[in-house]
Amino acid sequence: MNAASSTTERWRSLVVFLTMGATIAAAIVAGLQADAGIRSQVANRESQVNALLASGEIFRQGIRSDYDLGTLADLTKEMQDSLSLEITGLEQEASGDLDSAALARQRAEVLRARVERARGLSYFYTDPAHAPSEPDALPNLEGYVEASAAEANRLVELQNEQADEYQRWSRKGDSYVAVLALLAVALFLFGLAQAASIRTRRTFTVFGSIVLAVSILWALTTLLA
Amino acid sequence: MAAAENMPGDGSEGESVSVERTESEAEPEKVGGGGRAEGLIAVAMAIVLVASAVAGWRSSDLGSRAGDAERLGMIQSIQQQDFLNLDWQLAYQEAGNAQRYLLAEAEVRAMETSGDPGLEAQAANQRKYVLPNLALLGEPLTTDATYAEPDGSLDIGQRFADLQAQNADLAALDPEGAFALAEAYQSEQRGYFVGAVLLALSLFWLGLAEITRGKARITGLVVGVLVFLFGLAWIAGVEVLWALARWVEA
Repeated sequence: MNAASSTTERWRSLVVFLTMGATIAAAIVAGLQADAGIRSQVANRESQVNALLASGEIFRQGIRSDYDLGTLADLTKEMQDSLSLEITGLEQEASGDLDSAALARQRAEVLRARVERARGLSYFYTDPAHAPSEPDALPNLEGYVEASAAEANRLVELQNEQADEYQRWSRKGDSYVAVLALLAVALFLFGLAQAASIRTRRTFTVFGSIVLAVSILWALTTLLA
Repeated sequence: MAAAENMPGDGSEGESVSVERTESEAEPEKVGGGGRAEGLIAVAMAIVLVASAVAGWRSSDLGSRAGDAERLGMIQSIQQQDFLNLDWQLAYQEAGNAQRYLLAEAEVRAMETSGDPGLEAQAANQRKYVLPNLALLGEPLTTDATYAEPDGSLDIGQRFADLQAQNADLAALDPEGAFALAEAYQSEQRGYFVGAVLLALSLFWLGLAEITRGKARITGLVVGVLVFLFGLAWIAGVEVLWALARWVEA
């Protein structure tokens, strides 16, 4: 009789012990879940801020390109106009119309003055990395396009990294929530085991222990992933 | 044997009575036990549970505060970006106007030195009527020498920096500060999680004391109370440390 009572008592103690173990596991997993939530929240925020910075940089670069390329386009057009007037003057001179030729040359001179001033204002002629290497050569437009997109690309890359980080922590958080649900099942089974008869108690204890073991294993796998 | 294994309510009440009798007979043999000890442990467990509930509330409160600070930081980031975009737009708009003036001025100068009376007269009128208006449109890049680069180009970056410095609304925004505050709350929240685990551990030891007898019960009770006190001290430490950090920052 005493041996039977002792066995019952041992099972009860085991169930209480497992219940406490599941409670502690739940507390730890809840902490890990909250930590994963915080990390995913921070990564999400960083991702959004970087997306905002990238969009701002694209906007700024758009305005700047508009200004730089507009200056270059005006400069090129006036250079062509000046050249055209020079040729016209030469042709008029050849045909004997000296007054018109002089006027054409003066207008070409005025346009050349504008072109020279525009060169001083243009990024493509003042920045050594993009300025033409020879007087009649074109500025380095490919290099300009590459350089202008570099910062926006860097920010987009950062944004993508942070978005991946957010997904990773979010998935971890989801796994911890699933583990918490399993731990709740284990606690429910241990609760039933405490109220049930000895045979049923053993069954509930065994199933509860299996669920508890799976939960702990899943939590550890998630933690180490 | 089988009777002893049956529980009350499983249809073998007579046998369960014998179990109860066996347990009540064992009562006087308990060392460091008895109803008083069990009551004490139960009170201790209740206190731990209340402390856990309060810690849970505070942790949730910190999470809410961190969320609020993050939200504020995001709103301010968007506002800041809006201001920056407007400042860049204005700086390049002014640069375009200044460029128009500088080109017109170069044109007028060329006409003035052309030697052609017609062009010279045209230049005189342009200098008198057109250039002042163009200069006005291009201000301050056309009038302030600090925006002129040695190579003749315009220092648009400097103009942008000045526009930023003049913008009081922009200066009032501090998204980084809001994010730092959110991170401080989140760190404090993590501290609370450690405290919650300590409280759960103390619950474990108190539970162990509840189901054991003799020296094991006393050990469980003492360790449980010590871990609980350590948990409380930890939480108090976290609270004081972060309150100090916020005070120093303020």
